[in-house]
Parts: sequence; structure tokens; C-alpha cells
Amino acid sequence: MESLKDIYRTEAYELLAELETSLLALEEIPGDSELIGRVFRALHTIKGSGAMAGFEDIAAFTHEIETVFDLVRNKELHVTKPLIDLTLQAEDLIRSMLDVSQDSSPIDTQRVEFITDSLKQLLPKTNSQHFADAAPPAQSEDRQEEKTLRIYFRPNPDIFSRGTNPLLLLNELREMGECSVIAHTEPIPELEDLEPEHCYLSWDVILTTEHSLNAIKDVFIFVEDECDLEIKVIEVADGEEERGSPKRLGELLIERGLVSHEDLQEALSSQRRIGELLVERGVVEASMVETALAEQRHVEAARSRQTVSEQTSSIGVRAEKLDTLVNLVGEMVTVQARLSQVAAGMENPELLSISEEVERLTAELRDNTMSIRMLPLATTFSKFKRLVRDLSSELGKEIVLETSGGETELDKTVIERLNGPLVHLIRNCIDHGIEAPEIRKAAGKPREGTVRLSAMHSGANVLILIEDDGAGLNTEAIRSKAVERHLIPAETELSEKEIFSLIFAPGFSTAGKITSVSGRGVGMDVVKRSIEMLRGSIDISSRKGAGTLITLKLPLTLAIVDGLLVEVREGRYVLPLSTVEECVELSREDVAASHGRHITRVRGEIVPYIRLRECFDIAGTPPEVEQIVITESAGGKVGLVVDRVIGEHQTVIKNIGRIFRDVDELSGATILGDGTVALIIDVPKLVEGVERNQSAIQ
Amino acid sequence: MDLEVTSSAEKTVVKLKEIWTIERTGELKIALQEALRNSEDIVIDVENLTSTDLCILQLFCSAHALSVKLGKSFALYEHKSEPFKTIVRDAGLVRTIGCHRNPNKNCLWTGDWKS
Repeated sequence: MESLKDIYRTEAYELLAELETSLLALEEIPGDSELIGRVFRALHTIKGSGAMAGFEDIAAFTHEIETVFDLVRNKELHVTKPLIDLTLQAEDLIRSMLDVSQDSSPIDTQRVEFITDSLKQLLPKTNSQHFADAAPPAQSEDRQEEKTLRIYFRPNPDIFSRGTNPLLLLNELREMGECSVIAHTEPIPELEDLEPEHCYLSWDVILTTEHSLNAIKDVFIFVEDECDLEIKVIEVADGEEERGSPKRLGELLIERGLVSHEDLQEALSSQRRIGELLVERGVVEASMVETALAEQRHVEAARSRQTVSEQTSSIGVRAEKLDTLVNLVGEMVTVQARLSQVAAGMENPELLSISEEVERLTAELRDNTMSIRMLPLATTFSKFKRLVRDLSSELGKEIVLETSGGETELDKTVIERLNGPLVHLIRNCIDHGIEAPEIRKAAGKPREGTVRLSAMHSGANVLILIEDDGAGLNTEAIRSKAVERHLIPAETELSEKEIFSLIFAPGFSTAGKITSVSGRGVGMDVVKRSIEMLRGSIDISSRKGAGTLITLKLPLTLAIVDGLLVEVREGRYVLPLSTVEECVELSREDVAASHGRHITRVRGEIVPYIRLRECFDIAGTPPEVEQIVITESAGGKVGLVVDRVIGEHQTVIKNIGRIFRDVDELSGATILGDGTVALIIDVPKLVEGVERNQSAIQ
Repeated sequence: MDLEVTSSAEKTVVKLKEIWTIERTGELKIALQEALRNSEDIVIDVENLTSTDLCILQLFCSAHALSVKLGKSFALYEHKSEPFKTIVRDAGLVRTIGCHRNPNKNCLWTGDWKS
């Protein structure tokens, strides 16, 4: 069982990721009170739970940063770049404190002191003492079940001249939960009659919170004798109460005595939106409708949250357990395939029916198990915001990272192994791709460069696009560097795509100087190998002066692949179904008609083909009519000629042994229903290898 | 100058820059009254306003109400500074439905107030 400390560590790492994302967003929008609230809440939880789980050092250090953000929250301190820098450093330090807590290494107390002292320097003089003396607040807060409240607050007209800012009170309420604030402007008189220093405004606040009524009243503690304050509970999420659907807008307005039944019926007889209509007729003020709409939204959101939490209450499972489950399901799929094969051969209808039922259940079990391993890419993407920020500042460039498609899911293992290649690619965009601000300006581009990271589904694959609006690839520089490095002979003629692919050659780099970021030429070949090890592919397109687009194509999962089982003599092979387009016949007459060239016509289109029999040096005579499996890869359509197409096969991928380690054309093996082994063909590699051999012969 | 009033045949633009808070409401009230007296179409430019408070927002609301009564146009310039947008959001002024007192059903606080 996981200890409290382990649970805290897991939660704290997630909160640190949330903290980092919020800080980076706050750097862009320094006044955003919602982001400030998110930073504060993350710090507050890290501190509070840390103290409870026995991480007193983390709790004490985080308390110092939380104190600073309390001032920010109260608008006593502005968000500045040094503050963001220091808080990011503090985040790194908390992370390392969590890391060292696992092996009992000492904490870097000097760094703790440095960051704490530096934070103090940022504070106004009057607050630095408060900072030093601030005692950590009580751990147990006055929390109750979630409820939605309507708070009406009308301050004394003299509130401004008494030095109280009602906005601070409203912002304090915002910190307590999900909050909608609606100001009532109707009492503001016309200009002639206006006393500019009087407060005419009043507010309705719809707050969904876990805080107690007392905690909410405390917000108004210094003004309660001089204001109208009404707090009404409009919804309690106790989960047991029988609830109807949320009240309609008309019902809410009648309930509050703002409109009559007659007014409502009259408005309803029209086909227009009820709120607009009632306001237009002067029956009710716009702000009252806004309040009722906010109330409706809050109740609906609170109910939907409760439903979701009831339906999707989750438990944490260790990744190793999940891996074991996937392996077992893999074995199950293999055994089920054997069962289906045996049942089909026995002509026993009862057995056949059971076998089909098992097949259906196994497929469901497989899909469900695989879905448990799927994770959204958003977390991986958000890590790169920090990378881009730090590297661009190190290199004196102005770069913004835009992400999209973070909700796209990929297998956990693929995501874990993708991190390294993506770091390389983004570093390259920043170092080689995006130009220095002055150069961009001179080229008529905005000073700020953009790196776009996006993800999307494409059949059984996920595409990850890394795009920059930098200088683009310089084909001449790549070519001359390749000649200089003896990667190609000087006289070779290459297409633009072939020149681009040279950057994946081991040891290739066009960077004039080696920086800490890139330029050692060890990046792109490693990236390509890593992506290929994930059964993925990488593609580059670029336009000089406009930018570069790198496309990664990755399989959804590494454990199981839907394949097409084919046969050549007695040997069985699996072709990943994602690469298969269609199957056509190849007769002796067709072969004779193409005069020995390995090409065929498919609906008027010429498609080259490769004979697996020749490729794998398999002896014997092919059948009268062979089958061509038309596949689609980066280079276009290519046919693979086999003796027989057996059919679709759910393939559990097994690693092949050392003997096949250097055989690029095979990506793995699988055990068939009858216990024999079928090799899984890596189609793009096979095509690439054949093309390479033919060029060598020519 | 942190207050510029530019009048043309078509409209009067009242441009506020830097800090406008409670201390200067009297001055702004006079400027707005004058604009409403002399022009049919008044635009308040807050693009370069770095800090403001609720008193100023109330003044705008009040001037808008008077403009409706006088049958004149009173609007905020399309580009607003971030601090201005933030305070409008924080104060809960953002509206989806315009004011019924205005025959055009518009309101200073409808529209997009996101950052």
C-alpha cells in the first residue's frame, strides 16, 4: 500500500506542474486574478498537505512563497518578471526537495535561504516584516460540503472615502470557489446628480464553495455594520436530496419577486429569449437577469461536477500493475486466436458459438485495457512552455509556444518515450529555426517568433506537428555540409526532400558553433531512431524564410497492432493494417505484360511492387495467381507480393531475439493461434531497404 | 497630458492616459459634461489607461445614462488597456444583455472583455 508520503509526492508533482503552467500564463497576463488564485491555491495545497504528510521543510519553504502571493492576491504587490523567475526557481527547488526525500539526501539549505532572501527583496518595506513574522495558517480549514450561495452586497455610499475598496472583498470571495460577480448599475444617477466619490454600485455574487457561511461572512467583517449583506444558500450538493432540473430563468425571476406570472406569460408567448425580452420591456433590470443566469449556470455546473465525480470516482493504480494486465491481455488474445482456429476446424456448432463469444469479450477486454493506458498529451505539452521560456531567454530570442490538441491521447509508454525527441526538436526550432529579434525585424517578420506544437488523430495513428516560423532549412548549407562530412559525393543530385533527410544522418549539424542548446549533431539522428523505435515516422517540410514543419506519426499503442496475416510458402507474416490499402491479384499474364518490371496497374495507376519471396530469399515456385498487398508509406504506394492473404489478425507484439536485432525490415513477432510464429514486417523500412539496394546496383 | 479632448465635426474623443482614480473624478466629470454638451457622438479612449477604480467606472456609466436621455452616442473606444479590462471584469460589470433604458439596447459593458 502506498504510504501517505508517496501519495503526497504524487500529488505534489502534479501541483508543481499546475503551478508552473499558471506562472508561465501569469507572466503573459500579470493582472489576471484567476491565474493569481491558481498559483496561490497550488502553493497553499503543497504547503498544507506537506505539513500533514510530514514534509515540514517543504511546508515551511512553500509558506514563504505563499505569503508573497498573498500580497499579490491582495494587490499589494505586482507580478513582475523577477517574481516569476524566483517562483519558478522555488518550484524547481520544491521538486528537488521531493526528489531527495526519497533517498534521504540533504536539502540544499543555501538555495532555500537564497530564494527566501531574494523574495524578501521584492517586497515593499512595510511588508517584509510581515513576511518574516507570518505564521503558517491553521492546517484544518473550515471546509464543508460544496454549496452554491447568492450573496447580495450593497456597501455604504461612503465606502470609497473611508479607504475601503469593495473590489478586494469581491476578489476575496473569488478565492473561495467558483464565483460570478454581477454589479447593479441601475442606482447610478445621471451625470448632473452624481456625487463622484459616492458608491452607488451594489453586487450579487453567485458563489459555489466548500467554505462555511461564517468564513464568507468574515470577508465582510470590517464593513458588515455599514452595508446591506444577504447570504442565501441556493443549492447544496449533498448527493442525497431528490433534485429536479435546475430552475428556469423565469422561475428564478418570479421566485425573487422581480417579475410577475403575467409578465412572464406575456414574454413567453413570443419566440425570443426570455431574458432579453423582459429587459427590453423594462420589466426587469439587465443586471437582475445576469444574476439569475449566473445562478442557473452555477447550479448546473455544480450538479454536473457532482454527477461526474459520482460516475468517475477513480483510484490510483501503479504503472507496473497496468503493464502486467496488458501482458496478460496479450496472452489472452493469443489463446483466444488458437481457440477460434481449433473451434473452426472441429465443426462443432456449440464450441463455435462459445469461441465467438470469447472472441467478442476478448476484443472488448483488449480495447478497455488499452484505453486505461491512454493519457492526454496536454501534460507533456505544458512542460515545454518552461523549456521555450528558459531557452529563448538564454539565447536572447523572443519566442512564444502555442499548443493545440493537448486532449489527444496516446499510450503511456509512447508518451514517456516521446519526451526526449520532442525536447530535441523544440530546442532545434529555438536554436536553429527562429532568428534573433533584429534579424526577424529586418526580414519584415514580427520580433517574436512562434513555435507551434499540435497533435491530432489520423486513423490508427497520432500526428504530432512541430512548426516554427523561423528561417527554414537552408538546402545549400545542408548539402555542402553533407559533402564536407563525406555523407554524399559532391556530384550527387538530390531532391529537396532528400536533402532535408540528410539532417537525420549521424553526426550531421549545420550550426556554426556548439551551444549548450544544440549544435553537436547528435540530436536529429537520435530523434529519428527514437521515433522509429516507437514504430513511428518523421517527416520534414520547410520553406526558406518561412519556417519548418516536422511531422511525427506515431501508433496509438505499442502493445497490440491490427495486422493482415499473409503467407509466402509456409512462412507467415503480419503487415500492420494501418499501412494496408487494398489487395489485388497478380497472375502470370500480368507479370508477362509488364516485361519483367516489378510494376502493376491498379485502376489506371502504376504501382511498383516488391516480392517478399525474393526479399527474404525464399525458395520454391510461387502459385499461379499471387496476391499483391498495396501499402501506403511516406514514399507513396508500394505493393508487397505474397502467395496468400489469410486475413485480419489482432497481433500481440513480442520482441524478436538478438539474431534479428539488425534486421530493420522486421519490427517484431507474434504467436499465432496454432502456436507458430509470424514475423511482423516494418513496411516503410522494407521499402526503404529495397530502394537502397536498387540505387546501389544502378 | 493625461487628458486629451479632440473635437471634430463628427465626434469628440476623450482620451484618458495613465492613472485616473477617485482623486480626479471631479475633473473628469466636468470634461464628460462638456463633451456631452458640445457633441452628438462621444468616444472615450482608454487604450492607454494604466490604472483606474470603481469611481471612474461609475462616472462612465452615469455619462452613458445621460447620453441616452439626450439621444446622443457615448461609447468606449474599441481598444481598451488590460488594466481597464481587468477592473471591468473584477467589478462584475460585463453584460450580455444591454440596458432597456437605451433605445439601441446597447450598454458600455456588453461585448468581449477577455484579455
